[in-house]
Amino acid sequence: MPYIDLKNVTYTYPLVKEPCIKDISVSIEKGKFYAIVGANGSGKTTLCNIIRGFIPGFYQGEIEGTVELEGKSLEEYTLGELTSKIGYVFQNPFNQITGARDNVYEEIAYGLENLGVEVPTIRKKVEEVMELTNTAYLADKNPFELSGGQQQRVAFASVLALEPDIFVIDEPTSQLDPKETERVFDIIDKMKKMGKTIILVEHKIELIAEYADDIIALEDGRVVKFGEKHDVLSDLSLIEKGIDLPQTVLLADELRKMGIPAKEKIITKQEMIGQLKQIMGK
Amino acid sequence: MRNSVGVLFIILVVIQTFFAAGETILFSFWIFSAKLEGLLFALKLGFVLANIGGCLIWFFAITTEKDFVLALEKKGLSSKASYVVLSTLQMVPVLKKRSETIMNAQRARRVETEGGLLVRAKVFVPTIVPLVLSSIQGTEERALTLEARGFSVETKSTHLYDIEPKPVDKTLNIITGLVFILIVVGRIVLCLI
Repeated sequence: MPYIDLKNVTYTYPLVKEPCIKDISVSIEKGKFYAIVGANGSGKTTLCNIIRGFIPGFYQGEIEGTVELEGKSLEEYTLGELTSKIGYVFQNPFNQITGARDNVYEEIAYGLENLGVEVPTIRKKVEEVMELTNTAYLADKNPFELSGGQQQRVAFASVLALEPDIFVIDEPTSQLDPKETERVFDIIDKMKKMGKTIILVEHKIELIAEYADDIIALEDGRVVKFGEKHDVLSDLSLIEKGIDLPQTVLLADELRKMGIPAKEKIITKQEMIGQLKQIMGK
Repeated sequence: MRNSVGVLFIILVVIQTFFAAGETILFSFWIFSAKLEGLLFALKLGFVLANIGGCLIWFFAITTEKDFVLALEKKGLSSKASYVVLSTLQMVPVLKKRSETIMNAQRARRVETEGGLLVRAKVFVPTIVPLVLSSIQGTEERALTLEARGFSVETKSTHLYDIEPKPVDKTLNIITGLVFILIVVGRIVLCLI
C-alpha cells in the first residue's frame, strides 16, 4: 500500500477557470526522498499544498480526485494529526518566523507548545533538533535578527521538533548562498537517514541528482515523467519542457555525439568522474 | 512615554492658566493674563494625568511584554489574541528596519528623503506603500507557517516560559483590593457628608 496516494487529482484555484493541477496520480512510498521539478508556474508548490492538506482547507477552490495518507483520506485527519504527520518548510525564511516568541529556543518549541506537549519533553526535543540543525549557538537570539540561512535552519528545527514522518519542503535554498544551501542539504540528508519521507521542490538540479531517490517532473500542472532519478534526469526531452538536467547528462550526450562511448544515465559528478577515468583507461 | 507625560503636563498648565476663565490675576503680559483659578485647575488635572501616566510607565518599565501577555493568557485571554499582541510588538522593530531599507532604496533612485517637513511628507507615500505591500505579501506564508506549527489545534497549549505567582503576590493583590475598596467607600462617604 502506498504511503501517500494521489489519484486523478485536479485542482482549480478560486476565481480561476483553468486548473493548476491536472489529473495527477502519484504514489509515494514511505522513507523515500522525492524531488518535484518543473518550470515556474508548473504547479510544484500547489502540489505540495495538496499533499500537506492546505488545499482545499486553506485555499478553498475546487479539487477532484483523492489524496490518501496511509489509506485514509486527508480530510479525515484532524489539524493536530496533520501537523504531527506532515511538516512543511517554505521558501522565504523570514516568513517562517512566527513572531510569537522572542528567542530561537522558544521559537523552535512553539509548535510543541501548541500541541500541548509536556515541558520536559519539549526541552528534550528542542535540544535534540538544535544539535541536529546546528542552531544551538543561536538559542538566545531574536529569530528576526538572524541571517536568511540561520532563519531557514531555525524553520527546519521548528518543524523537526514536531517529529513528522513526512517533510514537504518548498524551495528551501532559493534565497540562500552556496554555504547555507550546503548546510540545508546536510539537514535534509540527515532527515533522509532518519527514515523520513521527503518531498522537496528545488531548482538546483545537481543537488537533487545527488540526494533524491525519485523525481516527479511537472509541466503545466501535469506529471510528464515520474520515476527513479537516473531514468528521469537522463531524459533529454525534459529540456524542452523547461526542466534543467544535470551538467553531467549534457556532457555525456556531447561525448557520445563526438563518438566517445560515454554511458547513459550519468547524473552525478562522481558518476562522471568514474566514467571519464574508464574512458581514459585509468 | 516619560517625555510625553511631561510635555502634556506643561501644555495643560500653560493653556489652562492663560485661557481658562477666572478673576484672580497673578500677572499679565501683552494680551495674556495668568489666572489663579486656571493654574489650580491645571495642576489638579495635570497631577491626575501624571499619576496615570506614571503608573503605566512604572508598570511597563518593570514588566516585560512576554510576562504581561502570558499573565493575560492565564487569566483567560485567547492564545490567538495573545499572538496578535506579541507578534505586533515583535514586528515594530522589524518594520522600522525594513522602512529604513526602503528609504535607502528610494534614496538610491534619487527620491529626496531628507529635508524640511514638506520633503518628508512627499517621501511618505513612496515609503509606506512598499512597506505595507511587502507586509501583506508575507501574511499568507506566515499564516501557513502558523498552521504548520499547530496554531489552530484545539488542545490546551503548554508554556515553556512560565510565570508562577509568589506568596507575596497574593498578599499584594489582597492589599491592593482592600485599598481600592477603601478609596471607593471613602469617596462615597465624602460625597454624602
